[in-house]
Amino acid sequence: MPQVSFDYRFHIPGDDDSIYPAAEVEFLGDDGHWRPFILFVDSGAHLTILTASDALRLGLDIKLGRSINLYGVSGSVKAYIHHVPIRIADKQFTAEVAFSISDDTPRLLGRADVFKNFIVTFRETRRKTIFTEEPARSIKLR
Amino acid sequence: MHKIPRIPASIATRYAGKTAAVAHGKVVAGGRNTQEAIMRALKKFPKLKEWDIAVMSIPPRDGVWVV
Repeated sequence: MPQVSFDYRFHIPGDDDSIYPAAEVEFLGDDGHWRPFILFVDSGAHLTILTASDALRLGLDIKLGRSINLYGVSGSVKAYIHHVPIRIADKQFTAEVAFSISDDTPRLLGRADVFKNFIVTFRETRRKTIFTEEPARSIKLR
Repeated sequence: MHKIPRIPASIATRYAGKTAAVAHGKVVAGGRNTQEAIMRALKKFPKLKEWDIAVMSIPPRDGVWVV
């Protein structure tokens, strides 16, 4: 099975409170170029989240998307959902992506459309995030 | 294995909670938004194309990031 793994990202060396699982993900811009982003992998987030300035980078008119509010423990922020071509480890598909109107919203890789294409493993002891492409017939869940 | 770059302390401090630009596997610039971070990266590496540069969020300095 095709597989790719990413090191957890470190904020400042030695500061263990700021270690996050991250992955390099590409989104297709309206000019046909794939543009790379490094996103926090958040298995608790339904949607992948980017920012308003990321929408501009991809050539999207953010307000043409479906309006929603993103809720988290720190409050809520308005966002617009677009369907964007995405590429992870050479696998391409289209994902629902919420573009926050705030540029301060952290960029997240959520489950929608992403986790059904991969088995995502958080190898905490080795600080790696592993994406294994579905279908994973050799893995039997009990 | 894909390397996720470390953020230099100077950029982590200055742009905490904002955006970093990544080129050649390293964080090379920061900014208040994607365009500002990329513009600063392109000033340092003018031969790069805009689509060669990755952007990432920089965690806040104080505390753990939650949405």
